[in-house]
Amino acid sequence: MLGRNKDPPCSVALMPEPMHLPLGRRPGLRGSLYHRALLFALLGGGCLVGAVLASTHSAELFAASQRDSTLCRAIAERRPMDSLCPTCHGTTASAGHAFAGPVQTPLPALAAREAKAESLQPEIGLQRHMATVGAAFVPLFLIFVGLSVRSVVRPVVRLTRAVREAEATGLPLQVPEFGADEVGELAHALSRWHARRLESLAETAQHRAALDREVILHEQELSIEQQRRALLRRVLSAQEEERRRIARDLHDTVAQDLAALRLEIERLSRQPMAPAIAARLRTLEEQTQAMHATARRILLDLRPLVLDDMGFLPALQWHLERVAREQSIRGQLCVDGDEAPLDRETSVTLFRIFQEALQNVVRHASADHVLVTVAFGKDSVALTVEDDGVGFAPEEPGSARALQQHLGLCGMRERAQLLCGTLEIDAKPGQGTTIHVVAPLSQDAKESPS
Amino acid sequence: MNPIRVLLADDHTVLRLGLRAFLEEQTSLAVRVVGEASGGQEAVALAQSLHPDVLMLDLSMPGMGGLEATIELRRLEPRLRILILTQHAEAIYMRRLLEAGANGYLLKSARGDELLCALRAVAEGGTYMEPTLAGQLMAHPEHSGDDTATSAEEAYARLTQRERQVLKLIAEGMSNKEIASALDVALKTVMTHRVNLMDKLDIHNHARLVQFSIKVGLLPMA
Repeated sequence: MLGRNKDPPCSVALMPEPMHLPLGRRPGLRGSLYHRALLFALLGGGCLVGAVLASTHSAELFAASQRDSTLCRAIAERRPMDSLCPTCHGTTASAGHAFAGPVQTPLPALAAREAKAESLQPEIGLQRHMATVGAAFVPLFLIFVGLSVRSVVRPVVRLTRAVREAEATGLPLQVPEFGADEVGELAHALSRWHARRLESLAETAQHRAALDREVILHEQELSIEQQRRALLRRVLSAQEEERRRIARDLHDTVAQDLAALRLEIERLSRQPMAPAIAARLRTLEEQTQAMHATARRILLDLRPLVLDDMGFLPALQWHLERVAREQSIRGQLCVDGDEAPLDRETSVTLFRIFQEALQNVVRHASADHVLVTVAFGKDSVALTVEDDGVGFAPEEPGSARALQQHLGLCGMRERAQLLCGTLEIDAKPGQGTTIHVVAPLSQDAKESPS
Repeated sequence: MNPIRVLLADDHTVLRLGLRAFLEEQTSLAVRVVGEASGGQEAVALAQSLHPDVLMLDLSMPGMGGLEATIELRRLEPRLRILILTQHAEAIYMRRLLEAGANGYLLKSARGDELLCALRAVAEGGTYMEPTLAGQLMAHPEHSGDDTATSAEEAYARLTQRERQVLKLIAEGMSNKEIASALDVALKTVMTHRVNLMDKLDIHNHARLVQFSIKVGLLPMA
């Protein structure tokens, strides 16, 4: 450290042994701890003058010393010197004094090293002193540490307990009074955090409750929709059942009665009778015939018994032919896939959709052809009614025909939905209309003729 | 000439009695009503014990109906002649009953002379079809096209050039609208071709149209 100092411009050759030179300390001020003498070699008028600047012996300060000559020699020979001042130290010192000579500089500084025991005496003394003080201090220190740790840990334990309780009970955090230290701060922070958490929990619960209410409302709406569907299904099925019964009754009673009546009139008219009565009987027979035809038309409109007696496809074919004949349209039925039995609800519903679709064609489409396709898939059946009419030309809004058209379409859609099926209408002006219904095939479907 | 021995089966008593009176009073045909049944089951039993020549059978009866009775009797009494007398004026019923083995199909709205005509025809071993329904049945023969190679070729030969084009496009899976725009004609035209060609070929099934198209070389083999 000495030799590396650039300023003041002096360089001192290092001594063979490390030096204990507290040069940074101000010599003399703490002389009682200083046994080392510091020597300044001053260059004045070509001769070296040395002086003791610091010493434990106050008498030595600034006194002339034999060191001077040694110093001179060291400087002149430019090498470290080792010597002992017999005036001060006698001849007993085990280690010599070392002097380092300034090499070229005008302001050399020199340090002297003195006897080890002598020079280390304060440290040794301090060591002993420290050991004594330390021995006394360690237990105190341990006690202090123990107390400190306790003072930190205990509140933390209490705080932890309080937090656990708050967590378990969901009540606000009851913070024990800890004072203003870090643990106290922590406790307050925890308390604030917990309060906020409780608030946000309460908020979440509120949101959840609101959400739950919405879900319940939605479910209620759904169930209302389901109830509506179920009701509609019941109404429709009751209507179908009633129509079927009335049609069957008409068929079995009124129509049969009229047939019997006609036969009876015919039998009567074979008897010899006055021409006037014969003419009356003929008229009566014709009237009966007309009544019979009317009864049949009514019952067919109510419910085609073909559907119950023969099944879906024959009924479709029959109805298509009937409408085509009456309306001068050409109709064609195509069946794709392997015909699968339809349960009664599916066949009746699909038939009613078909009837409605055909009626729309007749009413609105001015079509020449109707192509009806029934495609049986693996687990669904698709019914397509395609015409080559004017396409979907919506009736003037608000008109009776528009309402009728709208109701017709709605009715078809509702019926398809009752089957858990879908209904699509593809219609563009001039492009004809296609109605496409897909209904699932129920697994245990059985065509059940009445 | 022996009178025709007739068994009447109808659940409608008034009609049955009227029918019996009518048959026994008329003079143009020798008829003897040997028994009356009010249901299918009874008709089957009486037919087996009385051995009538002709069974005049109603279709809609409680319990066993006319169709089931016909099927049953065809098996049990092969020589029995069955004349259906019914209200069902739909060709599909007549087709079904004739397939099941009935020999005649007559509507209850028929006049007395028609009834006698039908009874005579059936008793003499012929078949009687209600004239109006017979027309419908002829217009829509169900299973007429046994597509042998020659008949397919013949049927194909009957198609016009345009119908062949349409058939090819149908077989390729195009919808009517797509065909209309592909050929640049009106939808009505396509539908006309389609209905015509299907009627000519008597094929009412998409898969069979494809098969046919392959058979006549319109479509490459799949």
